[in-house]
Amino acid sequence: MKQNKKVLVIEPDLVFGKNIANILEKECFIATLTSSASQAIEIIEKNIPDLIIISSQLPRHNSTEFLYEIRSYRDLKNIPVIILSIYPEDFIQPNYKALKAMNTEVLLLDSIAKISHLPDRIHSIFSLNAK
Amino acid sequence: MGSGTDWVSESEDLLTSIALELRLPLLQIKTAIETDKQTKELHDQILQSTDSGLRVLEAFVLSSTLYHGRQIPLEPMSIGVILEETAHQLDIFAKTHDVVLAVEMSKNIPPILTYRKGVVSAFTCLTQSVIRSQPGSNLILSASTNSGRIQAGIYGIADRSFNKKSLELARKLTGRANQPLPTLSSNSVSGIMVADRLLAIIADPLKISSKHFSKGLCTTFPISQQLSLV
Repeated sequence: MKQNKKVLVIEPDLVFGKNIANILEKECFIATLTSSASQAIEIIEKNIPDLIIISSQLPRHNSTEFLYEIRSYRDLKNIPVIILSIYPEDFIQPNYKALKAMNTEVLLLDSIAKISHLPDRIHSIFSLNAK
Repeated sequence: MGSGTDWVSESEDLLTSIALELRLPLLQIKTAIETDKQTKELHDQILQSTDSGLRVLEAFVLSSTLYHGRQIPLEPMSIGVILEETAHQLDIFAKTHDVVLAVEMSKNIPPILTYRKGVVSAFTCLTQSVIRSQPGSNLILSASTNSGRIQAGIYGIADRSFNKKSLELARKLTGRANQPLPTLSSNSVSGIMVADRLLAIIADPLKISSKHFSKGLCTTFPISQQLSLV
């Protein structure tokens, strides 16, 4: 099923990021990969994605700061965001719970998680937002 | 070098840092398998990921072994050969991170007196960590003479806020913070910290230096007097 939905992946580790992008592209998403928040802002300014996947840890920036920044732009207020975190939610900054209410989900990368399930997660987000 | 108690405490912190960082190669392997890549590509990626984890572990074990009284077999050697060996070992790793890794040497550098295995281990750990944190960049392994010693390191870090203070803070935060060196990397930079510890035993601890219009991490070695007399 052709998707044509654009997904921006912000992941500092290029190898891991490419694997995520590969999985998304197999499901016909158009994946753009970048390793930093500053590059992500530049990309978004040129071409707004339909969804953003971001690592909870970024060099020089905090993913929460990035989220607050994009949420401050009118065009990006409601864009769905998935945060990839290696830390359990209980230990994530309390901000993340608040951000969940702002169309932001947290995907915990533990031993049970499968990145191959990410496209399904994205489908359900788009379905919910379409209602 | 600190007291025995400091060493144990530092070792625990470093082990925590290594544990945090080892998640990354394991995640890389897991997601590579999930992408259902062609066999050769999958094998190559798994190999790179496992090697990257093993390098850090081996360097840590070596540093602990050397600390606990084992006599260090010093020998004269060419730093250029060591840098070339490092670049060769990490050639594919650099390419997978879109990094161009080059070796640049000043002319007529005399041999250094050091422990070869330790230096190679430290430099591969250090370089690997910097490569991972600087995807898409040009990095240079370089050596030159400086104040009667040989200075060698990796350069090409563009961030101007990467400085002596950030390195000192990283040493204190290792194992206690998820990102002890946020100006350079989003992960625990255990490769840099393990290299730092190993080099502190066999040469000098890492320091920040500027070269090639960029910042870098380097150490210094004594010049071998043995061959100078020949």
